[in-house]
Amino acid sequence: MHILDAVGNRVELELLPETPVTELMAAPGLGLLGAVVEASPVVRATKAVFELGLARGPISRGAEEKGPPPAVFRERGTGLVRTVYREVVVRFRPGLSERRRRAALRAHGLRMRRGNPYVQDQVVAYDPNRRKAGAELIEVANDFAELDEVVFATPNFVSEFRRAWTRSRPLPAQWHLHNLGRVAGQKKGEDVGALEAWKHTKGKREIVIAVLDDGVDISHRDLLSRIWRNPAASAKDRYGRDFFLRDDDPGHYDPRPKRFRRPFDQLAGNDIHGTPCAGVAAASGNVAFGIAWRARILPVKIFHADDLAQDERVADAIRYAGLNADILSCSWSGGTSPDIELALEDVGRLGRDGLGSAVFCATGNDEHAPVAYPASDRNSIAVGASTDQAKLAWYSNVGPEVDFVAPSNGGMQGIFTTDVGRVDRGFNLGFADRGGKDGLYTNEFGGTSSATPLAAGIGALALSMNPDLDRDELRAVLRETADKIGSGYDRRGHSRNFGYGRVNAARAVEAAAETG
Amino acid sequence: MAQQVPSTEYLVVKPSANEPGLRDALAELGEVEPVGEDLLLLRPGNGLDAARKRLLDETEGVAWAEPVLLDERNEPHFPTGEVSVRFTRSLSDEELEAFARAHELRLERRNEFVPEQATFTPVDPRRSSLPELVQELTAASEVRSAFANTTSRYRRDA
Repeated sequence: MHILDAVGNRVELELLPETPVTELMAAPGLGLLGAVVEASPVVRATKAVFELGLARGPISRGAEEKGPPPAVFRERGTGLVRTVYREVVVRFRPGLSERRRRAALRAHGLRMRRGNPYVQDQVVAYDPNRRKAGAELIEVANDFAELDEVVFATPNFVSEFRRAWTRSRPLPAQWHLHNLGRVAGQKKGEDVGALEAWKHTKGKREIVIAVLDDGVDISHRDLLSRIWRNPAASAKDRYGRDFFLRDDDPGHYDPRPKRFRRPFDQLAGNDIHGTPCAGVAAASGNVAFGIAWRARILPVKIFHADDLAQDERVADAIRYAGLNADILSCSWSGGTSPDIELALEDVGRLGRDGLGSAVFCATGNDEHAPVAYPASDRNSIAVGASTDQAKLAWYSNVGPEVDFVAPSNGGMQGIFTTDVGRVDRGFNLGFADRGGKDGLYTNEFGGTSSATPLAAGIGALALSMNPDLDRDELRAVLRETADKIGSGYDRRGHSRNFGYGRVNAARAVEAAAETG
Repeated sequence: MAQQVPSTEYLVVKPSANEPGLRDALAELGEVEPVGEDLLLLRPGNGLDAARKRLLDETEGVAWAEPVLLDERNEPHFPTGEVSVRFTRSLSDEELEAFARAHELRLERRNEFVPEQATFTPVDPRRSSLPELVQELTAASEVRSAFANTTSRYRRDA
């Protein structure tokens, strides 16, 4: 089930079955509500329905007349609880006569309850026969929204809101940002120095990180506020594009995950990879922090799960990202392609008004095999993976092209980050020990896939400090400020395993400020 | 520039519309499997060149047949039937049309982001071979590089 928001976007809703409302409707009074688990957002929202007086009629008249109970939904993506009961808000086209408004309401079995004191064309309506009181009201509102004389229509939700509060530091599970060494075997302090870096910058809103992958859940509560919005009001690509689909496909301008197949927690067959990557780079910190949590994410979808992809479309996605983002994060690999090679060159010339967009690419997870393509391209920044024990991850590819490594799984703990926001999709299908019962986070992400957006996010922090760095200068800053973990460094300070070392966000932002 | 060479083992076959019997006909020549949404992959038993000639000359329902391309790492790339050309400068529409005519191509589109790049298809895909066409185009004075458009397998590196 879905509703349309004020600008016509679909917002998916999941009906929560057997909510406490169903039982409590038969209760003689409302006192019992307080005895139910008060912490539950479902209870809080439904209690609000009664406290606001929306349920006054049926309760006072007795159970036989009460009509359908309120319907409680959870908004997919944000996870917020929204309760529907009895009323619909309708905004009519300006200037529509009173007679036509009432006729439109009557045609849907509704009657006007009250106008809006601030918006002349907006009314609250209800079904006097009480047949449409719960979930049916969503369909009524959506029908209304389709009418020419209606600007928007929505059930009069009683909703859960979250105040704009963010935690001040990452959860211990986000050890890659700030490693307290709480897990046996972990090396305390083996992280990227996020807290120190954040004293200087948490990333600027103007700095955009493109995540080229299988889609980003742009409604996720820890990504929603970080998603790039096209500044051109008339642009079709309002928040990214899906290059896997042709330009004339209806889904082309929707960069969200689309392809799912059982089992839904496996990478094979599912678009569940881009959302964790985006979170590592720039999640907003409600629960999970990205390293550059004030920067923004441009979702660029290039894959539909494991389907073959056209090299031309991948190359064009790189060009598109280069024109709209400062940093590109590519947690994938494939065969070499002349078109992709040209695209990587193009973004160095076209991106950031000639300064060049920096393209961070995963070296690959082939157990120390040579660096994969496109990380091996001279215009890419090749990112390998280290562990919470300051070792090279067992899977991370190696070679002269490695620029640096960033912390990922392979040691004692995986990476905690955002997961696709539907409870039944993603690496975590709703288990406390896999990242939380709400299924919005996973603690099992990893690979060079996770290391890449982490390094890309540190690149975004560096550009936030100094936006005049060109892409070669940015690469140099990150190389020069990396920590030498492990051994095998040559006279230039380079190692086939670790590149120039493990990236250090704190040192990188300080050096960026002093460069140029 | 990344190099791709024709495979000596595998052909990509593009069926014409509504040719349900084609897969059976191909099966007489070797192993067949689908690749992507609308292409077939054929591993002929008796030589790739002979199989291609037979397909194009004698088999109903074949729009074109081209060898799979292999990159430096031996990764397969499956031709889509199109070629892209990066010119040394941005050509006018008239110049692009003239270029297409000179090489018996049809202009499909200019690249959305880079005006120096355009995509073409052979006017008669049954008569030309993509690797030879790419070689011919690369040799043209106004061309920086030319390559066959392909689909490929990518790995999300989680």
